[in-house]
Amino acid sequence: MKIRFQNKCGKVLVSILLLALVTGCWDNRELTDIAFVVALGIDQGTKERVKVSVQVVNPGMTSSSQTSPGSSPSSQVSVYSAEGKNVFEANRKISQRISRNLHYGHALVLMIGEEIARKQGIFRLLDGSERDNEFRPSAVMALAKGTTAEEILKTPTLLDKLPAVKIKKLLKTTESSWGENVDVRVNEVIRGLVASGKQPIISGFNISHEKKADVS
Amino acid sequence: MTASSTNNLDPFADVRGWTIQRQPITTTDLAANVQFIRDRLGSSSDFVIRELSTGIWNKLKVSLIYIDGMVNDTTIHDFIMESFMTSQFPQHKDFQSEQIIQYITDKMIPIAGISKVDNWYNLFHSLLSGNTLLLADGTSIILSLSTIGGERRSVDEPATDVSIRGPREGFVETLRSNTALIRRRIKNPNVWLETLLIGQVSHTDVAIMYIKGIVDEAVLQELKRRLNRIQIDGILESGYLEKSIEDQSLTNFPTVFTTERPDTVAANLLEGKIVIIVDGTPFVLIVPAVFNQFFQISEDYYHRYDISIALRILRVVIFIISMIGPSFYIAATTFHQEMIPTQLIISIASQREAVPFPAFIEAVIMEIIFEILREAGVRLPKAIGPTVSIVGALVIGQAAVQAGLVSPAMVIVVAITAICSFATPTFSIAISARILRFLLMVCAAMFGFYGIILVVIMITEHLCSLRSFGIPYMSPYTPSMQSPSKDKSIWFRIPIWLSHFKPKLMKRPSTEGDLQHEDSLPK
Repeated sequence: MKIRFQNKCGKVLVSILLLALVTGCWDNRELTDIAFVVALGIDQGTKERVKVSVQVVNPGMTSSSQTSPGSSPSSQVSVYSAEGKNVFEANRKISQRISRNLHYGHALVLMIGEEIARKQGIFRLLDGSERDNEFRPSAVMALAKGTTAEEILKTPTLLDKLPAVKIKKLLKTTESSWGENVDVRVNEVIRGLVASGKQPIISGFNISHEKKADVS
Repeated sequence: MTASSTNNLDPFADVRGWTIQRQPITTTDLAANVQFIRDRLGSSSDFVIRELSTGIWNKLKVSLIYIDGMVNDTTIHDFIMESFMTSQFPQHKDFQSEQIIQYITDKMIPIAGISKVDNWYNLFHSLLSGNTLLLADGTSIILSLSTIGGERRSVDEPATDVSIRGPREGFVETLRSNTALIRRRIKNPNVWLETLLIGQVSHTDVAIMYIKGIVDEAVLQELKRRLNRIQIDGILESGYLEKSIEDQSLTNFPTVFTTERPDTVAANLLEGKIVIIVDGTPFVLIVPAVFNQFFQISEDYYHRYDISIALRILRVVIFIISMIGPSFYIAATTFHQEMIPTQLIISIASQREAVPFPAFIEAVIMEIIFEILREAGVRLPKAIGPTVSIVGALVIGQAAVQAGLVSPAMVIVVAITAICSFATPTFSIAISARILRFLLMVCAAMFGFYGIILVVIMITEHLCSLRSFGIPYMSPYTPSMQSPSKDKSIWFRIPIWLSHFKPKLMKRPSTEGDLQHEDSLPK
């Protein structure tokens, strides 16, 4: 088959078309192919390893039209965990358990377990989240006090269907109306850690009432 | 030359040129002339010949010829026939045919518009325009009596450019009514009107109207040059002319403004624009047109300026939404999920859970269904119009969502886009956005916001490269110009008392008070 282009315009047009096809739909992710991580938890794993838990939204369950009165609130989110040498490795390892790509763009909460914070310090843990192109440094940072981050992420909440949303809103509300806790963001913590003469304060969460009620 | 010898040249083959008919009428034989006209019209059934005798002792044979349905019957009955039936001729023996025709013109027929036709071309044009021809034996003089009439639509509220406040008159299909509607608004001798015939077969009357002294002569000459250049069989609507006179055809943006409102036309005349009126259509063309103009409506000037400014800003927003609405949805949900608030993206994600198609396919399906519905709604007779609405609302609005074909969010996006498309003030600019929407959707599906920005840059550059009769399409933004009337911007509609209403075409330097064209004033 012989295709002859009469003028320069045709050649340019075809080149542009080919160029568009060569790049493909780079970075194209359909909503049905990704899982939204709303909260990220980091705990002490076995030995020196790091255990990462992600709280992802079950999109089929959140639609208001599909929520029946009998459905348990815990079905709004699922928590997946994996262990690795560092946060990044553990995050990638979660893909063994979940069918969708994790999307960290909507991570609202970064929860760190008390044990790992005492043993390893939080400085090293924040490195990955700061470098990541999706994870927002404006996520709320909190500590799981006397328990693990995974346990807190697994705790169902009532008023706000998503536990991560509850944590985020709760900190903001209590900071302004009670004042004992502070609403600290990841970037504020990092800035506090690297600056001399300044130390970050992070609010702690624990679970009371043996999982019957919400996080206190 | 006799009529029969003219016939030898086979006039029917000459449907476009009319060269035979441009020859002068020389035959003095009434019967031959009538026969020629009859043959030329193929003895058409709407062709009426009334033979009479008049003159001294009723010796002179005359014939009245007209096309039934195109004439005003009352005029023929009351002023022509009655005159012939009742008039008494002076008893001069030496009255020849010429004198009798002169007497008929001067004293007998009380009709204002009487003219002599001197060639066959004028004869047929006059006859087919609805005039009545008066032929007499023994002379080659043929009179054309103005009896134009027949059934026509009366001046009515315009169907497309509807306004809440403002005149309710709209243009009609008759050229003369339209020019009168404009003249009534600007009573100034500088409002000039030129008429030309375009369409080699149809011979359509086309009128150019402008205000001498305000209009840019260069633009006027260019327009006339372009109009005279047109080689076309027929002009059935002003759209034919629009495509023939625009600067660049390879664009989907209108560079000629169209309106149905006489007040809009009058305002544009005062700004130095030129108006082209085509017989047989209520849509009047205005040149040169700039991009801004398509977002301004005459009502802006009738309401308070604060609300007018707000509405103009709203219209630009509407235009942008109608263009990039669905592509924004595609880009945001497939490339830039982090840009949407958390609660909203989770809600959209849960709606998309049941939909098996990618967002792009979903959007294309919905857009095409909408275009089908719109096309069906426009063409359908009024009686079954509501059926389409019900089917559309039920099938698209509910069933498609419940069946999992599309997500409710997509329906909302398409609905908003559709409403914005209808809310764009000028139809011609709304349909430009309609085509570009699909290009934007493809690019958004391939590159996300980056693709949208690329196409928007392309569109902007294209708009900047366009010209309407030499006037940059995007003026006064680029090239930036200070307009004397101070109101060429999309955004601002300054109060009338501030604008002083000094109309100038944006290109020319202004001189004060030249509405009075001093050269032409009688001394």
